[in-house]
Amino acid sequence: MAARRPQEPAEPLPAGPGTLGSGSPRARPRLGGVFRCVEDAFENKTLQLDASGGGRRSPRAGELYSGPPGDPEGPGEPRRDDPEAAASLGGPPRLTQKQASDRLLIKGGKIVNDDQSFYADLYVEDGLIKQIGENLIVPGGIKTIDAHGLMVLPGGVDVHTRLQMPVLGMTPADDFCQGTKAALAGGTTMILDHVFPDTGVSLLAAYEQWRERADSGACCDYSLHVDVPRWHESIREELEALVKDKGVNSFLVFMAYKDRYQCTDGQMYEIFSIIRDLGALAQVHAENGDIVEEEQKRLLELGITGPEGHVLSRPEEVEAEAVYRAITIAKQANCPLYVTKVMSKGAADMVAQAKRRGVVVFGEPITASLGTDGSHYWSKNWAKAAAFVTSPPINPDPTTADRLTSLLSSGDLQVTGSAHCTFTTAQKAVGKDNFTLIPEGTNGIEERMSVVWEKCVASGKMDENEFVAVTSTNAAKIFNIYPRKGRVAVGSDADLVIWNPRATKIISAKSHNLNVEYNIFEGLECRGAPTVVVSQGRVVMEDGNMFVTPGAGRFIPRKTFPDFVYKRIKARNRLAEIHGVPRGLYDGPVHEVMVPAKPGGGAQARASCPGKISVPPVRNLHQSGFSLSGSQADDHIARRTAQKIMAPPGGRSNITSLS
Amino acid sequence: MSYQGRKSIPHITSDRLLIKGGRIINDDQSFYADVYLEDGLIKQIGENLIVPGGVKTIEANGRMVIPGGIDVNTYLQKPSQGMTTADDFFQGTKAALAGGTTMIIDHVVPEPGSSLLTSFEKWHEAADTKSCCDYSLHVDITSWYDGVREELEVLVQDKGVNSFQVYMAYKDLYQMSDSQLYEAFTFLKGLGAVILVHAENGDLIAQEQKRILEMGITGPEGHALSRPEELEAEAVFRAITIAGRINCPVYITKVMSKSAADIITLARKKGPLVFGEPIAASLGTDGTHYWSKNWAKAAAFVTSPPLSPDPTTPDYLTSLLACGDLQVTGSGHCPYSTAQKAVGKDNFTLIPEGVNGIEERMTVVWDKAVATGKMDENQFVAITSTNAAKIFNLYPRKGRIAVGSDADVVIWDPDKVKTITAKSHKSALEYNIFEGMECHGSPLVVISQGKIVFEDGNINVNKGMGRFIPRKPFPEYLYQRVRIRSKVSGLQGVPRGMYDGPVYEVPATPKYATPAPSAKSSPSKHQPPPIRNLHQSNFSLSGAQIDDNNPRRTGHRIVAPPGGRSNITSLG
Repeated sequence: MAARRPQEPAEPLPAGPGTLGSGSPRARPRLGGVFRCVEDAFENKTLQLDASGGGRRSPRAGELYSGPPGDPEGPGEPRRDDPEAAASLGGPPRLTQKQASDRLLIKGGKIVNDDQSFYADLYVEDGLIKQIGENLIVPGGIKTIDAHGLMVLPGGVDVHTRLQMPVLGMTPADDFCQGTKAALAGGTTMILDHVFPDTGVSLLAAYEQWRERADSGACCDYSLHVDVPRWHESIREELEALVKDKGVNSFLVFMAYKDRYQCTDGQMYEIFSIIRDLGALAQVHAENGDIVEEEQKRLLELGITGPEGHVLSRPEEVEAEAVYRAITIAKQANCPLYVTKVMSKGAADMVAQAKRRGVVVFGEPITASLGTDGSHYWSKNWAKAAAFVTSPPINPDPTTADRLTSLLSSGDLQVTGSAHCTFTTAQKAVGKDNFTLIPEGTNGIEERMSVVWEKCVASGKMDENEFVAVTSTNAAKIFNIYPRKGRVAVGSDADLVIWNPRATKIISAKSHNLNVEYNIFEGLECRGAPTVVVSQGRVVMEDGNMFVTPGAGRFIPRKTFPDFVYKRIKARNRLAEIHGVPRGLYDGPVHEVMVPAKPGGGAQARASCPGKISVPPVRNLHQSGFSLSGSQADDHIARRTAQKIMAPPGGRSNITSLS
Repeated sequence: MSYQGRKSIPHITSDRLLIKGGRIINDDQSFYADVYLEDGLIKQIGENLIVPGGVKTIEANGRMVIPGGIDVNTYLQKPSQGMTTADDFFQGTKAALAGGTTMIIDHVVPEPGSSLLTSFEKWHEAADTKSCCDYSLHVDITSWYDGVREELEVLVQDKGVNSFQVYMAYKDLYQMSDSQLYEAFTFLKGLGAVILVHAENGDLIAQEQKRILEMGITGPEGHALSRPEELEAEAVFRAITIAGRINCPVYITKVMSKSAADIITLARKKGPLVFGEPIAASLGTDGTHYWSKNWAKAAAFVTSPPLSPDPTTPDYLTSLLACGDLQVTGSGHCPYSTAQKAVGKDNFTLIPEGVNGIEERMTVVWDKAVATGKMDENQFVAITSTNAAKIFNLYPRKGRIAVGSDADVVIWDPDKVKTITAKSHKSALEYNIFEGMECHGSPLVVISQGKIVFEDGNINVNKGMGRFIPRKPFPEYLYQRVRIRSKVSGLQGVPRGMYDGPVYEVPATPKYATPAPSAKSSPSKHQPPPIRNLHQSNFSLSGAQIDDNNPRRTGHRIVAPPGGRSNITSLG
């Protein structure tokens, strides 16, 4: 366990009166530690504040449920957590040092979870949420944040970042330190980064590399996906070690990048089967690498070398095809599937349709596909066009973002990532004469929450609860870190965002917290931005000022068999057992197969069948005395294509009637 | 008697024939007229025709006169593990004629290692000597070897073949990778050929077969279990995607399941030129029989893709045929006797694949589609004959009753009820997968090349009377649209000034030699450094370098001074 600060699980609270307003979620059992999956986490997730009537609750308690979620704040209330205002509201007057403070009271905010919103105060201690309710009894002298008129959300979980992805020997401009700083600035308090093993590096070694860099650099909690760029024989052992000892429960395979990382369908099936047995989650980068490569060749031959060639060589159909194939393979292997970077309508529709057919599949659009479109590939400014290069590419259809946000709102897509993998313009310029060499990746780690809010909530497509679901809760559930992350509840990690839905922010490379000199969302005006960000119980961003410590982020190990994903898979595994038909032995005539002169030709397909060299059926009464034992005339032929069984010409026997 | 005629001329060598009082059905209209046939051609259509005296006359009495059926998918000589099919060209075409099909298009299946041309000649010869009806040949590309392009060109230009099948299944045997498919499609498009695809995901099938055999399931049900319809649908989708990229028409042989048909339907609505061919088996029966307790019966249904176990599939496919989302019907006729099938009695993967259907096709389609009111007689003609003739560039020689067309004509009785059974069928098989099926509608008289070959249940044919019908490339029905699309969808780059900002120096360490093999194929890889880059230092790549021992450079070694934020970085 990499948790540096061992946490005490919250004491089990009696469900009667006198609890601090929180009969649920239940405290986690001590056994197994905080990372254990809470058994009943999903049954009783509604905070039942009024179930504990009386006690220390104020007369105001009845108002807790009075308003619908959309009735957030009255006019004239203090807008910011001005310390004086907080003090005047009756909170403890003195503030402790911001950075050192392990105790924190957030007053007057509207707590927004994926299932409900309610007004309550929130007390944080030791990096955990300790109390939620009204008139909390808290120690004196703690820092108080006034959140009147603001929302208190669980911190965002960015499910897809690549802060250390090596491309052509280059590393991204934003490393773990810079990237997580930007994440925190945008309201994301946890990232899941992709470990990418370079050529000749084992999965385990690459994992250790990433851990080392992230442990020293990350400012927020993080966890790791591991990419499987090469198939090899001992893959099962490596995956098993990662799952059992290293806290990794998700692996990505590539269907693109031919001759480099691409897996064949057969390999994918095998990897998926292993992943299913281990209880992990299969992620795919879905693009048909074969077609992409052919298209790249064709475009370069046509003399198209600019970034527009990137999108022309990776059309939407190629993405949709791979998504469909991945879904088919996952369905066959009965393995849960997670499609990273859903960039086009076609791919998103595939995911949605598959869900309708009952496949366990999740789709992840990214900031770039939600916030901008691919028309920029045709920009006259090479640097600008190159900045958008990522795979699958951002779709040139300007209505794509709209469709993706609709599918997010309807639940057909579940999570949002950023796929943050930035390269400076100088790095991108490595491919200035050949678009296939442009390092791929866009920014989005900082912008994700605001872009989703702007496109989905501000436009009325989803409510604040769904916003929490797609930016945080669903990801926590899928990757089995719920309810530690992704929920504002007693006992959860104190990763919180105080969100101001009325703030307006214009995204610009001038003001962002990234190392790159451009921003693909340049000029996008977003309503909704974080005012205060709390990570591990500490205020790390307040009013635009960052207070981060590189290396403060902890590695969050993840257990296997996430309930959210595997409950269904387990049930299906039981159902999916297939049985043969019990039949009497076939006793009719059998055609004598000539062993062809060219062995290996017609029989290659069967070479892999274990049942190939089956014993001759002993009970076949028609069988002649011809025997396969002893040396035969054709023993020099490596493999027999079929059994050499002689049967007497039996004429039409009874087996031929097909009644 | 279904006709009255000049009696006592039993010989069928008469070259002149008058069909009186029939209702002529084409795919676009029906009308009453007499038809006069001479020299194997339709010479006159109309009322009160002036014909020579003494010609044989068939009185159709208002029955339907339809263009003879075209069976687009037969395998009358397919080798499987050294066995050949039970029905050869003679037996098979005899059965075809008895069922109202007057032309077949057979698949040439080259054994791995033999060339397309030699195999074509082999098939050509066998069919010429045996076939009783006109035929043409598809050639299956079973491997994409060096020199295949030249052979394909010869086949298209000199041999009259305009359709080629590629396989996405049969791993390590016939299967082609996506790259090869892309290459093959591109090349075949250039030749103006029709691309047929056997669509199943062979990789996954191989995995499933392994798994199912390991579970101890060896019977024919394993065949269906290892080839679920998702794998068919997936491959169909992939084939369409590849074809869509290349802008070439693609033709899916043997559409056996609802989901595969749905994919075709959806794709057609989006624009790609896709054609789908359900076969008699997928229209007339279903895959529940794989679970039969009778091994021989279960094995009889083994074909690939398998019949869908969903019993509502035939109904669904028929509806799609009726609305035009699927266009043609074949039979996939490739029969093996029970003894031959029994080669796989302990391992379903060894059961030779193929079902019968060449004789039953027309009747099954009529019974399922027309007798149920799903389609009219014109649409029936379209899907059994005319569409096939158009797609494969035989139209209007075949597939239409018109002056000048071949005299391949069927007099069809929509009311006749026939029970399909192995006892009475013409195939050499001892079983029939449609056994016991009662069908409305069947042919009364079948005329091939102007001769009566089937009448009153009696078949009257000579071995080898069938002719090879060469087909020209670039069928208008497909390629007109392709040509226009190619014209309008030209790709153009963006004219830009040279990028003159800083360029990151890529270290050419051996460690990173492999991550970029995709660059191997890019022609612009060894470009000279851009001459107008004013920021460039005088570092040169010419002469011996310290890393010359590295086989390949992964990127350009271009050094640029740290230029700070230059103007190119503003993204306004």
